Amino acid sequence: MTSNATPQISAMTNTLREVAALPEHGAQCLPGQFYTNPDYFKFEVETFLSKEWHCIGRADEIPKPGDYFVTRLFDEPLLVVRGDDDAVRVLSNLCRHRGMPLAEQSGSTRRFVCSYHAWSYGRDGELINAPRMKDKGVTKETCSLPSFRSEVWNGFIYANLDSEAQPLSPKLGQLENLLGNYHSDEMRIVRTFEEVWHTNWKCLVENFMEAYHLSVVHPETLHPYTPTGLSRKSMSDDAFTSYCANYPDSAASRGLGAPGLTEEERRRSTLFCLFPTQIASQAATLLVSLSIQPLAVDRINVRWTMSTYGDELTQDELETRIALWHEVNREDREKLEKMQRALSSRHAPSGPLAPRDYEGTIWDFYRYLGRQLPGTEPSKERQPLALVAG
Amino acid sequence: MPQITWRDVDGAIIEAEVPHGKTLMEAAVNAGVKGIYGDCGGALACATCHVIPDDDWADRVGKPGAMEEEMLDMVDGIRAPTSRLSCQIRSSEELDGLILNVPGGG
Repeated sequence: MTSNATPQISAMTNTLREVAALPEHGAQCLPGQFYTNPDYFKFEVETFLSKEWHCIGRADEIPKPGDYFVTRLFDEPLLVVRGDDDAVRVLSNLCRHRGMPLAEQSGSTRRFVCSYHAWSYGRDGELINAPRMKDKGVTKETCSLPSFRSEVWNGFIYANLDSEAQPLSPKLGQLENLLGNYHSDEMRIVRTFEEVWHTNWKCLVENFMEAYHLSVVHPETLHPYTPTGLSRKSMSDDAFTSYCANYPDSAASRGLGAPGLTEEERRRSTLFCLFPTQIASQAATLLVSLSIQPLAVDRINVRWTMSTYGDELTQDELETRIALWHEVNREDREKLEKMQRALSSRHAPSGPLAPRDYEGTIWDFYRYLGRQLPGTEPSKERQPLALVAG
Repeated sequence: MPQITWRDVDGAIIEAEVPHGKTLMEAAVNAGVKGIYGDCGGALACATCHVIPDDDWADRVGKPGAMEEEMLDMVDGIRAPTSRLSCQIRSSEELDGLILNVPGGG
């Protein structure tokens, strides 16, 4: 417990410990205040969200040297750029002079020039020129752009604001086992999209990761391909949880994808959450990844990317898939925004979670949240729950 | 159309036909001449489009104005007596065949 935690926060962390300790068959939802209390959101940001690895986009968004896009992680404006050495860097998107953002949206450039006083920086963030500053100690040693910790794994770009953080990739062995055959690092970007949703960040994680709602909320969009009844919980460990949304035999093929995929892998979408804020759906020819950027207790920025494998899907087919995902997100967003407004109720429930195949992933998520509580010993097992449902 | 030649920071030769009236900084950026950046967009605020005309051309290119003169003191590379900022030079028939050297260091 941090010294400045209020009695209310202390009580909530005790509740989280209890919920996270429930056995799988007796798992329950977290009470509503975990999704609505602004102090608890601040507590989450301070104690673990600002120290965790977050997916911020795809390396295929910036395939060539000089390609860049901008994004944010909490208070930090980020400039994500591929250098002349082909390395992806996550730089601070503020000019070192007065703090003006250097770049906006996305593009490709030889160098970044501040629109305020024309200071310029290379594709690696090194200061190149600062007009009229020769005698002011402005050098590349003092005024190059700071960089943040970053890793590229399976084509996803991850950043961490905490310079002391443990590396990410070594924790992802089990997830690699689940996704390896899809060759997601070879996929190419077809669309990126951003919007603000009025929901708590955990609500979207839980919604995306549970199959229980699929046939109810998405009767026309997802039910024909990924009905609740065929969904099966899949692997999980300290770093992630997942489930397989299996396609009915009646559903048409959605493409072959990478050569090494098994028939089972081609006949499903594998949905995973890399804790805490990346949720993604990996299918043979299509990869959709949502980066959840928590803005406030009841507000998130959702940055989603869609990538495809090879040239199997035509542009028309891709446009159809993009439109489908927009519709699916709209359906989820409507539900989550309604629920957010209700969860402040004194009668907000802590109802039972559905059986393992449908909401077992939420139980995994709660246990992840429990492990982040200050004073909790990190798990010593590296692969404690590597179970694949039959 | 006037033809302009640059010898860039690496010594590579780049040639381009530049429409009458266009600045030679813009032309160099469009042609991808290494060492010419034009960070400030041609507002005499950055000194990142420094060129030195071949000796035969210095007179026809002309001398810098007072504000350009001041900015030239800030160039990273070695300044020559005939140095110019190419955002202040516009293409014209008179300059057809001009050869510009791009000094290193900025």
